[in-house]
Amino acid sequence: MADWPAKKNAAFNVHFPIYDADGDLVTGAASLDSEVSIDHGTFADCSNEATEIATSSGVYYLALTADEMNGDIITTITKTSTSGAKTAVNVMYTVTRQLVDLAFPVTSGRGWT
Amino acid sequence: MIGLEAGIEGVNMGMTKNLVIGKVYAIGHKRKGDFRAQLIDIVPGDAQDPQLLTFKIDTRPGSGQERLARSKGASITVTNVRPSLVVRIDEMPGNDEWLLSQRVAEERRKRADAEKEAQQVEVGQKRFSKIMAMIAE
Repeated sequence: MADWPAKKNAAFNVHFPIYDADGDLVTGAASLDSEVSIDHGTFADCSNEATEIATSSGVYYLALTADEMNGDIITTITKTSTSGAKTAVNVMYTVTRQLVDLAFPVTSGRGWT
Repeated sequence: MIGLEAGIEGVNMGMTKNLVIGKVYAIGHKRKGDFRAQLIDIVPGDAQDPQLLTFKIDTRPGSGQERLARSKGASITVTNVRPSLVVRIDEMPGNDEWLLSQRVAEERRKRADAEKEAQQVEVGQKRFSKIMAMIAE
C-alpha cells in the first residue's frame, strides 16, 4: 500500500510529470535517463527506468528499489533527449514509520501501548 | 591522478575488466549512449550492482556530451554508473588534458580521506615505535 511520506528503505514508485517550456505535458519522452541521490550523495544510475503511464499521459513513474530509498532525503532526476522537454526532479523526505504503521487496533510494537 | 589498479566484475561483457582510476575511457551505456569520461573512483553499490563506477564527464557546450549535464551549461558532470548498464568500456588513446585538469568535490574528498588515513597510519607507526623503544629499555 502506497503511503506518503515515502518509507525509508522500502521500494517506492514515484510519479511525476515531464513538462516542456510552456508547462505542457510531454508524452513519449525519449531516451529517459533517471538517476538517484541518497542523502545528497553523488547521483547514480537508477536500477529501473521511468515509464509513461498509458496512454500518452505525459506523466511517468519510476520504481525505486529499497536500496535506493535507504536514506533520509532521496532526490531523483530524469532526463530526456526529447527536444524542449525539461528535466524532471523529485525530492522525497522519507520516514521510518508511516501513518499505516501507527494505525489502531494496536499491534505489538506499533501503537502507544 | 591516483592511478590505482582496480578490477571490476560485472561489466556487462561477460568478462572482467581491469580499470584504472584516473584514466579516461570511452563508454557505451544502455541509457546514456556513448560518452567519454574519466574514472575517478569505484564506490560501494547495492544488491543489483555491488560496485558503482564514478565517472567525471566533460559536458561543456560544444563537447558533444552536453546532453549528460544535469544543469544547463554545466561543464563537468559526475555520475555513479552501474556496471550492469555498461555495454562497452574501452581505454581512450591519449588523454583528455582539460578533463584531467579539472578537480571535483568527489576527488577532493577522496584525496582528503587518503591523507587522513595516511596520517593515522603515521601516528600509529610512531606510537608503535615508541612502545617498542620503551619495551627495549
